[in-house]
Amino acid sequence: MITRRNALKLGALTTGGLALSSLSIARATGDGTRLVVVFASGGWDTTTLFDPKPDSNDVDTADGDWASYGALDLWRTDGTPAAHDFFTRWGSMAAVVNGIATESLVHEECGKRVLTGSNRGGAPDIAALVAAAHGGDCPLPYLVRGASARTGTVEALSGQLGWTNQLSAVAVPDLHYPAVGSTEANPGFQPRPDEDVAVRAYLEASAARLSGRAASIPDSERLADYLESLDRSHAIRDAAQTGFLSDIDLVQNIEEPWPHTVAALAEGFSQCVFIEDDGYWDTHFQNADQVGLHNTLFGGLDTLMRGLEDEGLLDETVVLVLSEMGRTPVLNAGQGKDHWPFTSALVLGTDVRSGVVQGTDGDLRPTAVDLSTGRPGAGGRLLHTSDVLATVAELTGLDAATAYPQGEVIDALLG
Amino acid sequence: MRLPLLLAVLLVGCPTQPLPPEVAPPTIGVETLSVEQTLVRASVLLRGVRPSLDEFDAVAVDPAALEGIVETYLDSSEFGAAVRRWHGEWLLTDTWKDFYPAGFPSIGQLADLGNIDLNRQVQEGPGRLAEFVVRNDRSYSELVLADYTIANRTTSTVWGLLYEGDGGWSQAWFGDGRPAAGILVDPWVFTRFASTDTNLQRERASKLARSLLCHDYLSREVRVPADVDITEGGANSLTENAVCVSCHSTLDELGAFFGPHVSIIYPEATWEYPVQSWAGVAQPGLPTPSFYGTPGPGLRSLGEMIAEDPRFARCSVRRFYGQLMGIDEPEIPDEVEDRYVGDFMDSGLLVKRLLKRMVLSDEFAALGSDDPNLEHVSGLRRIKPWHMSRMLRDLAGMEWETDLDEDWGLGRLGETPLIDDVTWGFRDLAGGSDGFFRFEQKRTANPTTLLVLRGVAAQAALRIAANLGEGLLTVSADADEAAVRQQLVDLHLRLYGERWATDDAAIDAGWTLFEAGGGAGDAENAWTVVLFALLQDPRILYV
Repeated sequence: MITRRNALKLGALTTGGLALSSLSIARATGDGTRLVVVFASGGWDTTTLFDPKPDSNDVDTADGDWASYGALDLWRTDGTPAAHDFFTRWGSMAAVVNGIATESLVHEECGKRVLTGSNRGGAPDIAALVAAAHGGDCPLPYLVRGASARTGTVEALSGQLGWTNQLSAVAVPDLHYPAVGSTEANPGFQPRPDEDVAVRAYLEASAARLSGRAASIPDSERLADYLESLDRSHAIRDAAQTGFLSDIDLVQNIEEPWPHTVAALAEGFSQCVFIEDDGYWDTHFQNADQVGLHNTLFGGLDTLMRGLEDEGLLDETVVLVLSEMGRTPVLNAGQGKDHWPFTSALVLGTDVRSGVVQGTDGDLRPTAVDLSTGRPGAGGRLLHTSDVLATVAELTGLDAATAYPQGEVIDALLG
Repeated sequence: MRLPLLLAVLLVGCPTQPLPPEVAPPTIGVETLSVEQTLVRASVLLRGVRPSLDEFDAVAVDPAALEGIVETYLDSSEFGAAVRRWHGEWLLTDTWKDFYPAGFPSIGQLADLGNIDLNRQVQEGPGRLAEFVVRNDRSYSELVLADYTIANRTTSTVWGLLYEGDGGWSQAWFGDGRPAAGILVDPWVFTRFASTDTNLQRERASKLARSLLCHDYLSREVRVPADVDITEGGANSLTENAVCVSCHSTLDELGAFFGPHVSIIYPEATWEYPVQSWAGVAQPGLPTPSFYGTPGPGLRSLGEMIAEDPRFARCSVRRFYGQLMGIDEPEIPDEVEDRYVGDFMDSGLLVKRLLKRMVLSDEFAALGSDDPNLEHVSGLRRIKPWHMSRMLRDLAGMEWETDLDEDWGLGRLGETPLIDDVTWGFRDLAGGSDGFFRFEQKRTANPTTLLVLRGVAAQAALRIAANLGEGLLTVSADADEAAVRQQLVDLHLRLYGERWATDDAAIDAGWTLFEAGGGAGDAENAWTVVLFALLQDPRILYV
């Protein structure tokens, strides 16, 4: 469900800034499509797995060999068995896009661009758009675990899980932190149901009264956000009494967001989830660490995919795996690699046509791609972040042309 | 050079030449809040706490009393705490405490400190310097020129400072030969902003340019050419490729000033204090230091050039204006600077004077505006997580903390402030900046913010109502309806700056809550329900 208010806000926030009146950005109806965005914050080395250049004298590629997973040809090293297992199992529904220009060499700017397709500060990321278009009935349409997500001003649909699952500590009374000197949960005052109804009615009336006095549209929006957030905060608390939030360990799960993601989607708690990988990907020193980082990431992704399969959600879920930048072709003096303004993306879904969209040449430099074949070709297009996002928009039931007017759908990715 | 403490004290409040008379606050012609509501906004945004009933009465009798009250706010320690917070946001020095770039271990002389607390104190250092400058009416240029720093026992131990205090925060000095340049030589600032050997101090330059000059290299649209060569050994693009040169010609030379700082410090690898943070000599490979084309011999000269650059004054105006008006700095129209920067510069960069003009302006008191030219003037300014902490302390006399019995090798985490901590607490959930990945503060409500606010209200309501007759609630447990209604009137004034008659609909709504909580038969619970509601009100989240 998309409310008129959200449709209006989305219209103002898509990368083209187009104003939508009665049009919705959502193309699909019904349950819609779920989206999980996994963000390897720090900048991955695309040559580790997706885009190796073993024949180039100008690119340092880790020792390994090519491995084929159906239509996917990827690089296999001794240190990435989890990635091998992952693509053996899921390669048929996976596509890789190489050579995506990020238009910057700075982490936060690149992150903004790869997630929103824009350099504007207020633009929402792809998951926020999908959540707004399809997830209105979820208690928290966009669940964020990490700091790089961009919720724009569709803020009332989103919320943080927290690095240590703190959402549980404010949603489930028994999981509140103890006070100093105590070992008992300390939720403070817990109203009876009838008292809570009275309090909620008071707050709604107060916000409505203030809305009548609001002198500007932004102020009206802030009060509307308050009211919507109030509704959702109650829905979150209700859902948390029995759902995954009631069973979260506040301390131990800092590196295990994958089961929570599956549960949030399976329980209908959220339509979209953003996961920021905890690994230290910014390998200016010891770029060899990228191998282990990839292995850990793909181990987690396998947990995610198996969970989605177990819950019968594979057909309804797209997974987008990104990093804001790549790393330079050659090692520096510290055996690290620095920032490179071209990155790769991995897209997973049952409607995804498996294969590699090859937007780099033999030296890891961008080259134009025929979007219908995914191969380099005359008359093709250099790949930009908005192209990848437009394609994911298409896969998730959004109107790609409206959401990303500067992007072009990569038809080669569509099954 | 070290400034003798006595001389420094004597200089406080003793400008060397008479100040020009204060210029009246500007007006832009917008509808404003009542003077009581304006008082709430001023008190919360300057101090994080709400006004007293006496202050409400004073402005009700004479609205001109607002000016004197604002002056007392600007002299308060709560305002000093706000200044620390603001600078923590602007300098991005207030981030999580237990991971890189923080994570100093509780060892040696500091083994008795909880690890969260130790790192919180380290991160407060730059803000403490700003607080000292602002509260003592010293020129704001001292932010980049001070020949002292502000330290306590913890930070002086961590950094090895010359410190003569009694353990609390006071002036201290570096004994390692670094020049007098305020935060430009602050060790935590340059631990937070590291440089790798290949980055050549660029991130430090970029962050400082953004924080101090509002010159944001990162926001520039750059189309990186396909043939760019940024690999070592062939990196001539920075000097030959026009796209690269447009930024790097000034950025790299600015970064060269920061070469004498240790390039990168890994706090968790510290095995004894003090930590060496000053190399004294620049790493090889840096260009000649230059401030947008003007060369300088070192960080002191950089501080002088920044202080004299009109962009510093203008950027400062933007920063302070943004805090008070609830708007992000890049969205502030240029004409706003013009309204304030002249008097700010004429005063010798006195921040309290600047803030007073801002707070007494009609745009500060604005109810909002539907004029497209005044889109930046917000009628609802969202509080931040630290405001919630201050409110809880002020109204309920308590901190919302837990004691984390965890030790990841840096020492026991210990007592942790829940509203404000990033890793364990609710700062992210409540819409605050984490100072590392996300720099924006939420300007509107979201579900997790309201869950945190509900938690704050749940803690406060229980504590306050348990002490009927004291503090916020002056009413007794056996009060009749008239007394309850009068208490509700007082609460609406104290919390929202709104005066209602005892039979007004707003008070009726409060009475309904009181009865829902058991009424006079269970007064403590009834008042708990009332406060639980009133403290989650949109007039708490937005001022």
